[in-house]
Amino acid sequence: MKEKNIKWLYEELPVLISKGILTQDTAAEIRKYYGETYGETEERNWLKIMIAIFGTLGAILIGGGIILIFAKNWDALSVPARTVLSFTPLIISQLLGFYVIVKKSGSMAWKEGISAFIALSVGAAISLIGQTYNISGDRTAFTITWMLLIVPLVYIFDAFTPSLIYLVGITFWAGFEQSEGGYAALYWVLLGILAPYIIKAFKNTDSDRSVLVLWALCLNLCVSLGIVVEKVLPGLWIVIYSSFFSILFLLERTYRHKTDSLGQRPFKITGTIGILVISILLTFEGFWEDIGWHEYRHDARFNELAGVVDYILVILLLLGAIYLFLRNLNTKNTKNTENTENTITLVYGSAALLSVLCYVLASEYGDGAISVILYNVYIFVIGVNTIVYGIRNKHMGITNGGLLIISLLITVRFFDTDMPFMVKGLSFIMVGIGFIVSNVMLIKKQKEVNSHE
Amino acid sequence: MNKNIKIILFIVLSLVQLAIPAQMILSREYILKNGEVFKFRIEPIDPVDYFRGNYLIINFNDNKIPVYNSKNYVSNQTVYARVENYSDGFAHFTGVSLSVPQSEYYVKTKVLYTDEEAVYIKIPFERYYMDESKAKLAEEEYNKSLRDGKDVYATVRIHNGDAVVDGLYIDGYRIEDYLRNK
Repeated sequence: MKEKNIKWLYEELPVLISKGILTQDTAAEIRKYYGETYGETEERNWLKIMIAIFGTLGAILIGGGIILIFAKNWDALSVPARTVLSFTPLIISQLLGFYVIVKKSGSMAWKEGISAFIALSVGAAISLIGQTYNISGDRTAFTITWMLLIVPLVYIFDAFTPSLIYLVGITFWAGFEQSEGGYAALYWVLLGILAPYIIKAFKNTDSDRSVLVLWALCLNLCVSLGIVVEKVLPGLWIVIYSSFFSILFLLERTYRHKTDSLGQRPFKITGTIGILVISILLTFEGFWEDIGWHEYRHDARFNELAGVVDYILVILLLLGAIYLFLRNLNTKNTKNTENTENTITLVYGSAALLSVLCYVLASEYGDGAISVILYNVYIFVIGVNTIVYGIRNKHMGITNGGLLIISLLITVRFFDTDMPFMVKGLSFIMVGIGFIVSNVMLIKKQKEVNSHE
Repeated sequence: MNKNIKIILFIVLSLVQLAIPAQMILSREYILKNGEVFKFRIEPIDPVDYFRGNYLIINFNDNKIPVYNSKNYVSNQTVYARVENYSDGFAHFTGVSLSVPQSEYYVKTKVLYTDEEAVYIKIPFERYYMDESKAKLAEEEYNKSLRDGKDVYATVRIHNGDAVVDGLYIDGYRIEDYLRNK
């Protein structure tokens, strides 16, 4: 953080000099005072990151290579030879790990690289034993054993790479478990093991690795939510995903007001894109067919007890989304830009509420007609609000994003409704005009601002 | 975290990481030494598992166990399948139960599906790993031997519900030796 501030100060110095607030000499004094810290640390940091990236990549390649060589499965080797071989990389990586903890605990490169190497060596050891003894394809047992054996590395080395391997691993485990007819509710416990690490990352997003952890978590949950749901009550995914994305969207806005660059806001980005994608999907009638409690699955393949996990998940996510929504509802601000900021937050943030309303309607009437209409309206409102927000904040990207949302809505309706071609044509023309007019307006405004300066 | 605590935790973790694979080895070795030997008729094909190397899927067409009460069983349920040697010298699954059978040889497995009269089980020992260059050859040689009416089978060691494939045989030779002697 300190480095960021110094960087900012350095960028301000020429401005301050030109306005006569600082003299060249004072500026030089300031540079002299901070100089060594800033210039050097940045270069050193950059080097550190490069070494960490290449070190980790190297370790992953070596670990992967060992797995591939083992996969070749020489039958010339005796069972004892294979046993020794399966333990060799593991022991080497562990000895290196010991060295890193004792001597190199300050080096991110060493910690990331070696912890990745150990994680892969454990997998290699279990695999080779599996093939030496012809253990049948019990993918679930293999994956969960491997993951549980490596997750402590995240904490001991404070390392990102094993946490990424773990996140991917437990998602695969849930997938295997579901595809083999088991229950994947344990996924939440497995994810819980990583919770302290994730919370720490959420609190400290100045570090690049923390941001990576949060990105990994967001993208991982997008996939795993769909896998873990037991699907006993059809269509529950609608509420689950809508609430999940609403929470992501509102979370950063509620608890962190800093304006970071886009890449540093994984929750907001994933939430926004998620809300848009799922809401556009839900404007299609097909997703509303055969859902709700009238379609409850009594089949032996669906376990009622496991379904309870779904209900808990729905309730928790929905309550979370409503709580964050209400918190934002209460923060009223008189400043103009703040007001549009609030409006757009509430519009996007209401995705969870809308989903549950539509779900209840569609289940009760056994027909999604009303839900489809509501979602079409919702996307339209989102689009318009995004455009307004973009124009007020003089942000061309956001304005065009809003126009894109509206065009997308018209495009998807183009294919599945019987609107006359005249109406379809006119709506395209109107959006086209909207694109041009709003961009011209924004460019003009931008020029005005520049000329005033 | 304190450095000393980290060191201790890491040593403990490393030992566990070594102990689990070691335990896998020991339990399999125990079954291979002490388990009863059964011969099963087989039918291999050759898929590839990029992670664990080449293996033959041992295809046992004999996974149907006739029962009177097939409605009591559902897919993916854990069951115990009894194994018996018939007079032809080959092993067959002769019965299935939800609880551990007494004083007989059995394997713990799962139900694949059921029909009116029988339960079809997942065979828990279906892989045989081979050298990358030989798995394909082994499959061809196996199919040829089958056409020629040669004696082809797998031996499986069974102990307390756990099964380990011991070897694949053509005409009384282990498949690795059979291919080497060709």
